[in-house]
Amino acid sequence: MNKFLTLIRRDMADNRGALVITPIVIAAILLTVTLFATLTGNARFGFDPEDFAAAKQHRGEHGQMIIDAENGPATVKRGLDGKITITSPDGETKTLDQAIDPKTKAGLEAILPVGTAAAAVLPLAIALISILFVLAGALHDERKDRTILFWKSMPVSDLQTTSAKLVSIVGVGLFFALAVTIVLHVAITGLAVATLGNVGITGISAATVFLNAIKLWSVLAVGLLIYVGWALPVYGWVTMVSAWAPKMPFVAAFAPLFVVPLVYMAIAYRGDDNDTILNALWEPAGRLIGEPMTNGMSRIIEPSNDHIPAIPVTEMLGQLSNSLAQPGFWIGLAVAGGFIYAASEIRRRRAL
Amino acid sequence: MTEVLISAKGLAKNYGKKQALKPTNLEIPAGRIVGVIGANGAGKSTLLNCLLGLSDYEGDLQVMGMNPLMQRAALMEQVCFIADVATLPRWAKVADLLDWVAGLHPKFDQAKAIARLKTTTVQLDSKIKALSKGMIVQVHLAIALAIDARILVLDEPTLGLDIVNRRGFYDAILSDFFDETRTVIITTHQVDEVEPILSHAIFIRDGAVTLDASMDVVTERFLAVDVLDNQKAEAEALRPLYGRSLLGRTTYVFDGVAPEQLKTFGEPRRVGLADLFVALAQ
Repeated sequence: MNKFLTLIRRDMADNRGALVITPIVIAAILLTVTLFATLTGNARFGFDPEDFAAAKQHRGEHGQMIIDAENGPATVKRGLDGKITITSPDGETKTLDQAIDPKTKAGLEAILPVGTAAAAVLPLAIALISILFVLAGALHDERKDRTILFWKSMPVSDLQTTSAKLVSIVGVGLFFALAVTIVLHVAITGLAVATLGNVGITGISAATVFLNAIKLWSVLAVGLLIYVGWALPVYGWVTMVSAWAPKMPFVAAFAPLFVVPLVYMAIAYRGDDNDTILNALWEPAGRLIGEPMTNGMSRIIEPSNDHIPAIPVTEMLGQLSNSLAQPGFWIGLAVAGGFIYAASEIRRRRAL
Repeated sequence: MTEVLISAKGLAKNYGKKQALKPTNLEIPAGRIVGVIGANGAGKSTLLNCLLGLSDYEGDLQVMGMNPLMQRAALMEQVCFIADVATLPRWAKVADLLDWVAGLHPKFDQAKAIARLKTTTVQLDSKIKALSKGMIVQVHLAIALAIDARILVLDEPTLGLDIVNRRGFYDAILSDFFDETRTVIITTHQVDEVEPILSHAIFIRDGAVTLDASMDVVTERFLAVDVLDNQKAEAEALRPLYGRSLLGRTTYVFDGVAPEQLKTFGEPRRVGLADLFVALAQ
């Protein structure tokens, strides 16, 4: 076990740029952009710090804007206390807080973390792509730079080495990106909640927002685990090609997965949606985009009995778990095992 | 009886139609320093790769009683090898590399490696890519010498190094690794440099072993003598392996001819491995 952990530490150090630095940099950029957008969003809405300062000093009318409401122009204004008021065309003035009913606020508590998650998931989405490149080079690059001769002088089996590369790149790499995504989500959601408070919307419970965020994370973590299971045969294939390919392992691994079905479509496809050959040829690509596990997962938010939107965690986890009942999942795992073993055998029999 | 560490019977390796190593029989006991000598592409590295389980092969091969191809991981607890100076991961820091080797090799003494590196100019927090060739060899050597192995295999270990580093390298092997229970196998082009430390020589030519003998046997069996032009016919009657004319004299190399017979031409002398290699290549 100590050897396996050492191999993982080594592989993480080897691929630090792609697996560790990249998600952190993407998260940092996103957070900076969000922070910037939060501040400049105020400006676009007529509430930039300069305008607000002007309003505070009773100089001019910069801290307000006119929007088109259903029955005429309404004036949206930021008061001296920073809170927003809306004056309707009939002259009635309400605070923004008064303009939003409690049910909508409750809905916001569910929708807000989903909206921020859509942005925060970017590091993970990019990690899903970047690990394919890292994996394609995993067993190829050590032959290319001849370091395989050093690592093979260590008493470690080829199967251990190959498995450790897969675990470190796919497992640790993806779940580190998930951790970064969660931290980013906390930050962006926190910013959003603070912004709501800042413009005077009360009654939004940060605790409820973050509880809903935690629900999303649990779905994301379980979903990622199941996704890795579905995509494992593709990862195994890429690892095997990496062990074998004399050059350009990424092209060698992915060209057959996309070129063959495209060629088939060009030559033999007659528009039949149930073309079993074509479906089989697209199967690896489908697994990579998580198609088998996301069927029926379109509803992330649904109204509860009292018509307040909610995140149905149990149902979502149930739907994800149901995909494990498909024979294709377990057949895929067996195929993945075959590819991983083949990769280790290729590595065992050829040093360079 | 001396323990045999490496035993090969009919060991061969083909790359497609090319026979890189022709069927070879070998027995290498403990307590030897073996030089594997041959031209580029002769099959030296192929032989070492087979011994180290780095490539598949035909025939029977036992290293430390193990099948190298099937039991490489277990074998590497007993065998240490340095392929050449360019095999350490350039992206790694020296200290990290030592940590990983400590985690991977149960017979690695990390403190010993660090102590050795502290006597050099290598900084532990340096990256390998920031080190000179000589420093990289120091790191590799520190790792290899801190592993309690029975067999040390060196495949052109000093390629590209200057004379000072080359000599220091072999001195360290002799003083810090070699003893009667261990064996060192070296392939190198710099035959003259390793010759003084070798106890055994294996010549390979076109994938075939042309000589497999201890240095004592080489010294007894092969003799060279300078012959004047008027004695050439007489000397050639003794069927020398090789003759080289230079400055009015011809140097002949003989195999298995008694020194007394050769004394009629001049004082017979020991043949250097480089000359012997050329002689056997004729």
